[in-house]
Amino acid sequence: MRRGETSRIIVLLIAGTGLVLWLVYATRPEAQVHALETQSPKPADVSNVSTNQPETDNSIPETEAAPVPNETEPADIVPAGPRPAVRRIPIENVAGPEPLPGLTPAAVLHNMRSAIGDYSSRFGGNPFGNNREITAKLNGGNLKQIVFLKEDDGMRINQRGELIDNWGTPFFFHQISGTEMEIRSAGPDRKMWTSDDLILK
Amino acid sequence: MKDKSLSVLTRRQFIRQAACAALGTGALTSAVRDLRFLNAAVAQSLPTDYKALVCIFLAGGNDSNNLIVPTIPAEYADYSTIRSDALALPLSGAPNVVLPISPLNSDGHQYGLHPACPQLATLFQEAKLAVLFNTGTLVYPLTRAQYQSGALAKPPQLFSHSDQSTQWQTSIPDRSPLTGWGGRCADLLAAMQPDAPISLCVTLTGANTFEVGNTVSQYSVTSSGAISLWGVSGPRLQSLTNILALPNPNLQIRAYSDVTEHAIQTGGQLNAAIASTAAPSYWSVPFPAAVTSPTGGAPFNSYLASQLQMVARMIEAGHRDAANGGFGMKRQIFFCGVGGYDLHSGQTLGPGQTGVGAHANLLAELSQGLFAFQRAMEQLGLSDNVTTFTASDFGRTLSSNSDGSDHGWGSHHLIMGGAVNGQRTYGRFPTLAINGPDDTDTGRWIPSTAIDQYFATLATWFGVDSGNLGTVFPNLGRFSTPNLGFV
Repeated sequence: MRRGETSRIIVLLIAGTGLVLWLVYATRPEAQVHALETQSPKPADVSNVSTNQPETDNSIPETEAAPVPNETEPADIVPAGPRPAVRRIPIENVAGPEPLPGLTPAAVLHNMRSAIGDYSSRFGGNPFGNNREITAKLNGGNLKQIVFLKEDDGMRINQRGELIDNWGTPFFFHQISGTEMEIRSAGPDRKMWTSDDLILK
Repeated sequence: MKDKSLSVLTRRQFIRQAACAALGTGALTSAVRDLRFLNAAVAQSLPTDYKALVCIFLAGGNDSNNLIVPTIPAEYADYSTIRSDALALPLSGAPNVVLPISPLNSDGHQYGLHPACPQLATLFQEAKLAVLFNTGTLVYPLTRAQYQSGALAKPPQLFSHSDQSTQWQTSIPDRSPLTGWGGRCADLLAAMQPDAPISLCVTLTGANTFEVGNTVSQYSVTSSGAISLWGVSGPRLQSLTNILALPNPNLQIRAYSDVTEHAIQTGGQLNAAIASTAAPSYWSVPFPAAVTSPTGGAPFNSYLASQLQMVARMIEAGHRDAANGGFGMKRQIFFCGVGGYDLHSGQTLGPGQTGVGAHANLLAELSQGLFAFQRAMEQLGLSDNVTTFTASDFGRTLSSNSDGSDHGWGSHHLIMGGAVNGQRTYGRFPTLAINGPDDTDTGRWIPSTAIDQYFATLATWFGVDSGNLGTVFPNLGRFSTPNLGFV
């Protein structure tokens, strides 16, 4: 009888622990990112990945041009004037130099997102700061001295300690929240905030 | 006889007791917190005059480096070099130059305002506007060396929109966001108006953290008035009200009916109370329906001005006594917000046109909206009773990214009203140098004033007793000056 009760308690404890772990892990944004990445093909990624391609509507006044959307704003807080619509184009077809065969600009961006996601899983939030500070944290400058960057994934660092894209331009990390980061590559023209920028959220 | 205290617990007993202990500890902690707040509320003195606080949240992170510009030649040279010709506003010899202001105090610097803000310059010269320099979230006072060494705790997730805007609203950066400082002030002062038909906390931009209290809830309105049931009016509304009034033995249905009935009733009361100020011509200085920056650009509809107009109407109704159809309130807190400040790109139109562009538009909207609001308060005779202040996620980098600026930390803020010790600057203007004493490393200012000090000064004016400041701002004791004296 006592043995049966003990077994039942153990089974319940294991099931409860499993449920808690599942709830904690599965509801984390980075876990959802990993889940999306395992899908094939990747329709969800297409909606998240874009080149920053403004509409060619020249009637939009210059003064209202394209501030980066702030997704933390309440829905009913609006900017002073309309923002131009952004046409979402998958970046998978954007060609560029490949540090290693197969490491296309899009692949490197995805790997970057994974590295940040791994950091977030380990430390409970994204690394923060500018490119140099984020790079340092991803590259072992953290409490547990864990290195999240792998050269095989196309993670390259310039002399100023900044992570760079396939064209050699430092990435821009737009911190939306503690767990949401927009990663921007300047794209082929190597100039940030132009229409050929590659963006991964 | 067996000694019970020495008996061995079975696993089942242990789990049961541990669970009870955990629940008990949680409940006790919660109860202690609530009791502490209850005691504070009981001890709080209840003033009888009318006062209102109006928070204007500039969502996205305002580039205050271009709101207040140093004008001493050497400092301006530092400013313009670091900002580059993509962002630096001209001081002279070009269109849209910085508007000089003349503070009554001397801190060794001279300043000017963005050329899109002539109304703010007027208010400053009228001593109805003050400027607070380099304010931001801090856990402890922090030097550059301490920032770099990590010797002292920093606010978590610096430079992240969502975290920083929440921390600005809670004023407790190192704790989980449970309540906002406006809500905590309201908890202490709500007892002075038990019969008020609407909450002490009113939001014009939907739910916010700032006005979340332990007991006080925020009341949400739009720029047009109370939020009403869509498509339900006249006989339909009467029928619905009749149905809601029907007796029902089910407690959940009864509670739902009560809440809905109360919301309908309150909305009707509010709309009736503000009806007399509906005409735009009611205000001697009209709130701008459309804003055009004086520096150039196309006109656009101002969401901020429409919010401020509604705040003015609600202050008029809230202050008016009940015998005259008003609410007879003694304290009101309002939250307004406007987005679009996250200008990584398109901040200006570029070299030679830095006074024009998205940021100029936003500041023109702020300037014209604040001016109309201040004049409205003067018209109501409530200028000394209403204090308006700005808040934002963070400042922005002094250095340009060639098309805009990136996320910073400390930033400059505005406080407006008749009670403000205006035409003065407060706090310390940062040394404009990359890798200078105030810089993390890219023109992001380490705040020299904590938001706790900023907001405690406002809360003190609002009527929170000095003995209760520590309840509203638990970290205030870490900073040397709890009252900055700007109001």
